[in-house]
Amino acid sequence: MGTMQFNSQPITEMDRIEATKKSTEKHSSSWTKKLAKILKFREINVTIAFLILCLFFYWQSPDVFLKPANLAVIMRFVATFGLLAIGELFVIITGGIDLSVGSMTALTGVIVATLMVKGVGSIPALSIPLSVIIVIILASLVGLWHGFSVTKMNIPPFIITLGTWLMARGLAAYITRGYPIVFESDFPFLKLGQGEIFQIPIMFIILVVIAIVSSFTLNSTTLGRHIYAIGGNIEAARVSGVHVNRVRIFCYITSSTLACLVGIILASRLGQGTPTVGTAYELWAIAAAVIGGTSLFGGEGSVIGVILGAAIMGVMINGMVLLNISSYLQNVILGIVLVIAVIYDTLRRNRSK
Amino acid sequence: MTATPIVEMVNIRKNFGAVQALRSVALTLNQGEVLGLVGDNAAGKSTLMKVLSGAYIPDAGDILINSQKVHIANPEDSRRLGIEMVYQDYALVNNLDVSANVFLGREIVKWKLGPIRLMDKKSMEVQAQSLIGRLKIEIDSVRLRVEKLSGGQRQAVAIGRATAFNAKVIIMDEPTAALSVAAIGKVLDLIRELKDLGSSIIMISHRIEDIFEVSDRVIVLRHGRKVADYPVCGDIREFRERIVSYMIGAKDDFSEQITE
Repeated sequence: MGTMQFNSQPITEMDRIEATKKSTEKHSSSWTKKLAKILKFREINVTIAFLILCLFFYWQSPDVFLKPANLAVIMRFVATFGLLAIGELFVIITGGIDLSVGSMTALTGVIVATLMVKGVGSIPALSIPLSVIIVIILASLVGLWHGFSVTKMNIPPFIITLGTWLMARGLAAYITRGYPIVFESDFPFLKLGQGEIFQIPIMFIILVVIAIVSSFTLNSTTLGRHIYAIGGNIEAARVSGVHVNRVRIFCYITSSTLACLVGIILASRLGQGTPTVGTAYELWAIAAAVIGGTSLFGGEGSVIGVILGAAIMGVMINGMVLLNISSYLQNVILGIVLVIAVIYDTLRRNRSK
Repeated sequence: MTATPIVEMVNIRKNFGAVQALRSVALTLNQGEVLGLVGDNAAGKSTLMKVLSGAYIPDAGDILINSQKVHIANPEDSRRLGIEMVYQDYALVNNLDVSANVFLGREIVKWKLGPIRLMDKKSMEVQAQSLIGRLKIEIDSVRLRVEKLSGGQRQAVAIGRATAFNAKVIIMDEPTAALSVAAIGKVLDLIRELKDLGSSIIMISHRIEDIFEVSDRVIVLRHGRKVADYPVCGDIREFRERIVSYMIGAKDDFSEQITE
């Protein structure tokens, strides 16, 4: 009597035909079904919201909104918050949170500026690549610390990253004594945040590259699947042989590293490492992720969603400036959008269950 | 049929502090057999199965698989030996689809570069589809998220997953506990199906009628000791009365072996 060996048995031709038939039946080419498939696309709502906003602001100020200079402003905003939100996304999918990213942009920006402009103690100023590598390593160590605390010491991610939120901000101010560290105006490093290629800001191109890599990781690799599995049911993932702790640590490192990347870009963009940069950016990043359909309970969210979330915020802020809406009122309106997005998403989820 | 033992657990002892959870328990599972494991709460059934699945390390005793002495220190060891556990709460991830759940932790990889492993989603879907086809599990598509499935379908997916990877022995912890009557019937059919396909199964259950329906043999534990081990036969009323008398301590087939 043989033991069961589904896996070692070759898949018969019949199985294959059967499976393909099933999948083609599900995706038959009639246009109604195609439409249904598009409507099922999870980011469809954010996409439509984004397009409507663009049309509205174009209608309201047709001569400014689509100007390359204005689009560049929006793209820089989206790049900053998109990058932070992608890092946040990795952590939030696993059911965690990272409150330190805003402070980390300040700390890493200050460190990278110090290394390039002044050097440390008796060590003279370092080259651009070396400074960047050092600060990225430092930031990933912070991420490792977060991941280690959350997985091995069982400290809530909210608390451990709140600690870093304070420490990083304080350290940034301490290093600089509160004053910005300013680059020479012709310093080549400034190209990173200020340069454009074919009228597209370099920082936006960086976002696109990071987004493609992140999306590939989340959708097509085993690591990505394990990240979603941990957010869905961490115990089930554990007994299924997923290296739960390793995966979670990876996510915290990703978040800190992307915060560092934003810190480097902003230092270049502003021409200075300043300890007050990035205040409350973690909350903007979380808001972008949530508007883009990420669930703070974990297990749900996508890269395209968070970028659309960041884009909606960027277009709205830009559009409201164009329409001369008071900046106080702008925050009120953004808050309303955030709340509507969350309520809508929660209702949709409850209905589908 | 001559019985060939596939699993032999000999004189297994496990203490938790002063509590003797298992007091020299012996268990044999034969090739192609469905073994029912019964006992009151805290009788030691789950502890015994956790020893076999690697969640607990016994204080004393031996485990033999195909007459070879083995050392099981963790769940991975147990899996490598072909022992799979179906958990009472199914241990499924609701936000992933059926195919992803079947292959969770053992994804088919197209290519890998360092830590980057690209999944072969198509192959996983085809194999998951063929798996549920073989086991006659009624699910429309392996692309359905588990949260869309009924309790019975979830249990079927959990059992199907356990059988998908060369499992020699499948341990099921209360597979029918949380299900409707109709769903229980389907799960019992699935267990018979697995048996026909050659699996050896240990089924923990407090539902004596389910044990009666599908098991070949039954073992009763009480206070960390085996008190009965005999083939399932007769009618259901007689069977139930006999088991209950063992469970409450009115009968004991192994009392002479008490050494403490």
